[in-house]
Order: sequence, then C-alpha cells, then structure tokens
Amino acid sequence: MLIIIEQIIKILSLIVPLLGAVAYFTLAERKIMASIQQRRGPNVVGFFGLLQPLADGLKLLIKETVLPSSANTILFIIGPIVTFQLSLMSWIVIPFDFGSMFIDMNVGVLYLLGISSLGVYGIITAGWASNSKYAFLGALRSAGQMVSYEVSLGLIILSVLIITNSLCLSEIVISQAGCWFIIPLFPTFIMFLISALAETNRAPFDLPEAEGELVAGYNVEYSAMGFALFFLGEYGNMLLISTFTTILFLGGWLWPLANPFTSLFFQLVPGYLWTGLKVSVLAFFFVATRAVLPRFRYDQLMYIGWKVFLPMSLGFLLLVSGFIFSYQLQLNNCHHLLTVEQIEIFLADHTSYKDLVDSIVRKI
Amino acid sequence: MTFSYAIIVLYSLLLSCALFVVLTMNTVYAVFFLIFAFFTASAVLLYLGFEFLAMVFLIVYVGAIAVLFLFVVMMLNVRYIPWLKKDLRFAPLGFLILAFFLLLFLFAILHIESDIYWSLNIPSSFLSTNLESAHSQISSAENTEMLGTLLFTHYGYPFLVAGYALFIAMVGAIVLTLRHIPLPSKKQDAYVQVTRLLSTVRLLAKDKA
Repeated sequence: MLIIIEQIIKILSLIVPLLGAVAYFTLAERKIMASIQQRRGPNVVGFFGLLQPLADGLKLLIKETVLPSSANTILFIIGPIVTFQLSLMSWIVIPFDFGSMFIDMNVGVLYLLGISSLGVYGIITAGWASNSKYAFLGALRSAGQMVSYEVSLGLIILSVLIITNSLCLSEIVISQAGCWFIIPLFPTFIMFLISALAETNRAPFDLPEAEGELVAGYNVEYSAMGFALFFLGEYGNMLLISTFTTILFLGGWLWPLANPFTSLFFQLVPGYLWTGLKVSVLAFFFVATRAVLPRFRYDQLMYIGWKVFLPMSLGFLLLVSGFIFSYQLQLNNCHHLLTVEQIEIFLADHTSYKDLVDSIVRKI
Repeated sequence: MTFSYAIIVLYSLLLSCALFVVLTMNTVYAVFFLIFAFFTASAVLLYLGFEFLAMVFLIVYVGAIAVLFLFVVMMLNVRYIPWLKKDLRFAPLGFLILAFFLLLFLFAILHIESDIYWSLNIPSSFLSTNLESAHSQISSAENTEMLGTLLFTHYGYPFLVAGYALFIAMVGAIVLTLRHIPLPSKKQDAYVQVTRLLSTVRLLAKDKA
C-alpha cells in the first residue's frame, strides 16, 4: 500500500510541474510573439497576465464537448487521450539532474524514439474518426511528415550514439563532461533542430494545421477538453524535444565548459537549473521561429526531409564513425559510473558532486 | 524460463488481440487490434528482458509498418467487409499451419536449456574471462551490446546480405512505380534559385514592377 502511494506521489511530482511548464510555455509563446510583433500580448488576467493559462484552462474545461454525429465516437474520444498520454509517457526517462530521473533505462534513447513514433496514432485516429475532409487531410499530412522526419532524426541520434557508445540518456550527458556535442557535431545539431521543428508539427513546418488550407487540420472537430488535450500534448512534445536536444547536444545538467577545476562559480548553480536554462533557450527558439519564418510548401518540406537531411545525416554518420574508427576515440562504456552507491553518496552529500565529476572526467 | 501470472496475462492479451484482428468487421478496428497486438508482443519481449528487441519492435512494427497499414486502410475507405460465416474452405489449411507451428514449438521447448540466455548461443568471448564477469555482462541487461557483437562480428556477412536484399527490394519498388513525365513540369530547383546571380534577380524584379 505504502509503495503504491509512493509511486503515485512520484508520478504526480513529475506530471504536475510538467503541466505547469506546458501551461506557462503557452503564455510565454503568446508574450514572445507579441513582443516580436510589437504588441502587448495577454496582460489583463492577473499580474502581467500571469494567470492567463489558468483562465484558458478553465474556459476549455467548462465549454461544451461536441461529438459530431457522423464521427466514430470511440476513436474520436481515444485520439486526444492517446496524444496527451504519449506526451507524458516520454518524460519518465529524462534525467533532469545527476541521478534525478524516474527510470534510468539503458535503452532510453530507443524508448524516446519509440514513443515519439507512436505519437502518429493519436493524430491519425483523430483525423479519421472526425469523418471530415479537412481533419483527414491534416492527419495524413501530419503522419507523413512525422514518419519522414523520424528517419533523419534517427540517423542524427545515431551519430551521437556512436560517440557515447551507450543508449542510456544519463550516460550520454556524462560523456559530454569534457566537451558538449554541439561543438564537434554542430551541423548535426542544426539539422536536429530543424527536424525537431518538423517532427513536432511546428512553424515553419506546421502544414497539418495550415489555417489557410485546412482550417485547423486534424483537430477541427474537437472542442473543449478534447482540443485542450491535443494542445497540451503538442506543447509537451515541444518541451520534450527541447529537453532531448539539451541532453544530446548541450550537455544536459552539466555547466558550460564542464571542467571541474575552473568552474567553481558555475558549480554554485544546481544541475537542474542548468537543464531548465538550456531547455528555455531552445523553447524560445521554437517560438521565435514561428514568429519569424513563413510556412513551407508541402513538397518543399518533403524535399528537405528526404533529399537534404537524409543524405546529409547519413554522410555525417559515416564521417563520425570514420573519425572514431581511425583515431580510436570511442569512449569507454561508463555504465559502471552510475551505480546505486554513487547516487546514494551524491544524495547524502551534495559537496561530493565535484569529486564525482572529477573522477568521471578522469576516467573518460 | 520464469513463468508467472504476468506473462499469462500478456500472452492471453496478445492472443485475443490477434483473434480480434480476424474476427472484427471494421477494417480500421482490425488494424488497431493489430497495433495493439504488436504493442503487447513488445511488452512480452520487455518482460522477458530483451529490452532492445522490444524497443526495436515498437519502432519498426508499430511506428512504421502499422502506420502504412493504417494509411492504406483509411484511404481505401472500406469500412465493413462482408462476413462470410460458413466459408470454411481454408480451414484445413489453417489447421495444417497450426499443427506445423505446434510441432515447431514442441521441438523448441524440448531442446531449450533451463535458462533462456544459454539457448542464444552466446559467443565464447563473453564466457572466456571468468564466469562472474560474463554473467554480469549478460544480466546487466546489456543485450544491445550482445546483439551488436553477435550481428557484426559473428554474423557479419549474413547481415550484409540481408541489407542488400532489402536494398534490392527497395530499388525494385521504385522501378515499378517510377513514371517519366516527358512534359516540362513546374518543378522547383532550390540549387538554381540559390545560385542565381543577384543582377538577374534584380532585373526580374524590375520587370515585374
């Protein structure tokens, strides 16, 4: 019984801050876009409009849920639930700080890829079950886009994995203790960011929701909480892919120039704040891109995905593996570094963090 | 092999999903049951401790193949198939296949060792140093590493041959569906656009204005 309560509290302690982050990400998007377009943005509800997301949530909650008469009711209800559920499920493997994750899965990267590939189903289910042409076209576009960009995304992740020699997310972060992967793999980082925009159906690749052509894409027929679940799921996915980029390329919870001898100042800031800072920068990038760039045409989108990113990421994979093979740069598998005892030591005595990172750096 | 209630639940879920794929009238529901069956199969693999295979199963079957199935079924717009209740022409064939697989499973069960790991024919490099380290190598669930070693060192050439077979299949599919359109199509060439001289672009803009 106690174990069940503990698990529930653990799950809630992950989900509740996440939902708060998602809600305030929507407010941040409206505010940033407003300031780019020289408007004020939401500033009425609460101090500086800070209660706006709560008001929006309440509005969506008390609106009427409309079930179209020609829709397939079961799938119509399941669609948004699946999208929202999958966007929450991914977060269990994300390490926010050293040793602070829900599950330290040793195939964490594959888990994230698998869950993100399942994300197509929520959208395609909603689009088909709505029994509307706009919704179906939007869902087909979205599914096609997500499936094609997953290929290049996977190849880019592979070029990171070849260096780290591990599929475990916290090991990927620890192996960046010497140098963040954004420095040696900068072109891949750029490609990853653009693919991430396409994967999350964001501007300039937000063709599934193209207002001019498809009204609102796969969620035209949804109202009230169904729409809210899609909305939260999408923004959650955006934050997730920002965090994933942080872990893969920006060194996760590590401070800049993570050299334990020189950065006594940086060490004062705890690791999860570094993660949060990096994720915020990437989230800002997501919003700023939407405000700055016009939408792509669908054939241009597919052209970039299949004819530019796929060959380039394949070539980069070959280049990286060639470098590693010829210079024997492969890192040792540092799985033994994350034993239970070390995490316990870390939790018991926070000051030993420096020594631990010291030892890790020496081993690498 | 460990035997528990969880695995019984998973297997029965898998079997009932597979049954519903055949029995349901709605084709889209059938595909969804198929997806659920794949999902359960991946859960079974996860339960048995093959987490790499489970994730690859999830990514490849659920994430790619079933999406294409769903695409085709939804686009064809065949919602209900006529259910022929008394058509038992293919029943003998089905029973034959069933008998074959039953025999196969019986054969496999009789030949499997007590532990499922040892039936995988682990290369000697994992066992060479000492038993304890070998055991830790295997049971620390690094079956990604084990599979990699097996595939790329012990079965390198079959792996390459399999890759070429898939490649040829892909080229074949492209050759079958490629149509050469003789008319000049309005195709955008990004390279030409980007490498255009600035002066010509300005001239074009002036012409338009």
